[in-house]
Amino acid sequence: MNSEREQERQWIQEAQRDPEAFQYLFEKYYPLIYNYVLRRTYNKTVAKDVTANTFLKALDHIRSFKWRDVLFASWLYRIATNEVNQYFRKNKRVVALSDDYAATLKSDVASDAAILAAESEAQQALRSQQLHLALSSLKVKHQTALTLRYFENLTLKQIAEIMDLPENTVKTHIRRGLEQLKKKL
Amino acid sequence: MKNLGDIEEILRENRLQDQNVEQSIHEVWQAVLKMRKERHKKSLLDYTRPWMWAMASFLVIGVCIFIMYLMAKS
Repeated sequence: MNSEREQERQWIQEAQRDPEAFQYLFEKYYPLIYNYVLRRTYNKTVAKDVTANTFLKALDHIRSFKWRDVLFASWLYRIATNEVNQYFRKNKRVVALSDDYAATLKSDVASDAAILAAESEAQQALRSQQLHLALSSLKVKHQTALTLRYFENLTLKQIAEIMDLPENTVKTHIRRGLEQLKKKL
Repeated sequence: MKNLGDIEEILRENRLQDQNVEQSIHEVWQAVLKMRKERHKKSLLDYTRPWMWAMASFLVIGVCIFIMYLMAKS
């Protein structure tokens, strides 16, 4: 674990000297950040664009990254969160699931030969769709806190770091978000 | 009636995951490099040195004074 962090530290220092070396960090963290953005936007095309902007910002500001106890992943999550919020501000919140994600769900179900399995999958897809619609209708700060806590499995400390808020405020956002979701589901 | 624990469970069970994430890595990295290159392209204004701006300002002031002189003369 420590050697992994030490190796990562070396890669960051390398990227701070030579931006070409950033590619290693990109390849390591791309799946994590892309999936996080996808869980926030529910649109693969938008997720790719927002992820590209996230890494562009990270590359531009890599020199200002200070290696203390802040994980590089948390730093990337923070940039990604800002980019997602900026995307929502620019484009009015799209509550409905995107066509491309809905199509994926449908094709996944249609390709399943076993009827029972297909039914179960369809129900799961429907539940997932309902959940994501309900989640989309929450305030952005509640959505962010819930996504980071339950989809990304981050600790309260990490979420507080990413959202730049005290841990107690994060707890409140999570609780209020859950209460809102409860009403909508 | 669902409690908050049930909602937490529902959230954990419905974690979206793109299985084909590896396919888009190269495409997105190329997009990052392209955007970075475009951002660093310098415009004509970026190439203009400060002394050029100073000279241009003096020239404009000179022309204005000359026009005022002509107007006063006529």
